[in-house]
Amino acid sequence: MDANKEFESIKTLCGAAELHQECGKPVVLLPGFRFKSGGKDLSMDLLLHPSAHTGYVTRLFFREKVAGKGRNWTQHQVLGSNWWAPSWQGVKAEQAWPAILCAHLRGVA
Amino acid sequence: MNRLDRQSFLGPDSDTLLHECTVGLVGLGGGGSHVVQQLAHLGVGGYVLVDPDRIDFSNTNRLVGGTLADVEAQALKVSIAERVIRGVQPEARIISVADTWLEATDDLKRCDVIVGAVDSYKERDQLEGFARRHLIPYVDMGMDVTDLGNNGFLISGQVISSLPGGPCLRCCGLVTDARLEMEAQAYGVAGGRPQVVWSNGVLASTAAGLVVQLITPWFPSSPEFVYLEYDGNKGIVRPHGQMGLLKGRKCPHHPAEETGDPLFDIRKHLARLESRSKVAEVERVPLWRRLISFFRNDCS
Ligand SMILES: [Zn+2]
Repeated sequence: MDANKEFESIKTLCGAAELHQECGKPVVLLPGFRFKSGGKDLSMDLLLHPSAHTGYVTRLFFREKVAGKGRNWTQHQVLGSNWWAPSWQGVKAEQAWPAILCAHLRGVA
Repeated sequence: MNRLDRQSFLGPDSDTLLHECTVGLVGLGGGGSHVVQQLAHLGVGGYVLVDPDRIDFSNTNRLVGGTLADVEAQALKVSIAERVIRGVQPEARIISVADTWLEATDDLKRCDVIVGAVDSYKERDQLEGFARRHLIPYVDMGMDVTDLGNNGFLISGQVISSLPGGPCLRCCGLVTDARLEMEAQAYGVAGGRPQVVWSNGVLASTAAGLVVQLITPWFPSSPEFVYLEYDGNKGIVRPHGQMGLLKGRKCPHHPAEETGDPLFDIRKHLARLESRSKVAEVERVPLWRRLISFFRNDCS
């Protein structure tokens, strides 16, 4: 998996995306990312962790909990600040980063 | 006569060093409550106490300082720890946060050492990551009881001193992706793990010793990275086999460039300071003035 190549494909979805690193693994900040949840348009900072984190094969972190969506939200410290993630298992790491992002967003759709 | 005369072998400046030091304690149950008590006796001057829980009856087998009256009053564990400290040091600098450590990060960032006495691998992994990011030494302690079937039970545990740049809990093999995965799959079904006061005491005393070793070492070759294992059935604490193997190795999990706050935004920081100072201004107005103003507004 070429992190720089994957990051370029994420940038086509979110021009303001930033590539960071946590525990030596790539993490993508998606500032003010727009997505749909329960038929509503939401905009929020997201953090895509396209490799294993806290026992999940990949994770998507949200700046705030998405009201009424997702289950078992837990708080995490990533890149020096606090983020929320629902329990949403099984989004495989062996796929393109945009596909990982979309699969996680289905957890709060 | 100085209260700390009999520990003067810790160094001519040890009283001052300990007094000026601030230790963050995350988890004030069976393990953390012992550590707090010892640091208070030692003369550590500053504390950030973090635990969201209140004492319950089943904690009284091990929570140092907890009483039946506390159970009756459903006292916060941070309040019990604060009382224990003030019993020896009335003027100690204490910040108590009755919440998860994620809500105490602004205060924990300012600590000289953080001691973690938390239950899960997920918590210790993230707490250590936080400490590394802010270049703070982290002392981790944990205890386990394993069912050996016909051979009874094995009490074991470990204490690790994890310093920026040096081997971490992952280097030690204590935190692994497999363990984190097992924990995540058991989400919500984690029961109360077995805990006994004497084993917690051994591990807490070992942790308190490592904290002092970091602040005011009393022998010239005190090691920086320490990984001690406890065999509660044999009654011994000894260096883990990994300790010698990992000595002097660099940690690949927390690279040097991953320090500080990469998402720090001065505009958000200033806005937060401003909202804090507004709260402080409200709090400075005497209560009777606030009451008068409230009734005036309410009646108008
Ligand atoms: Zn490491």
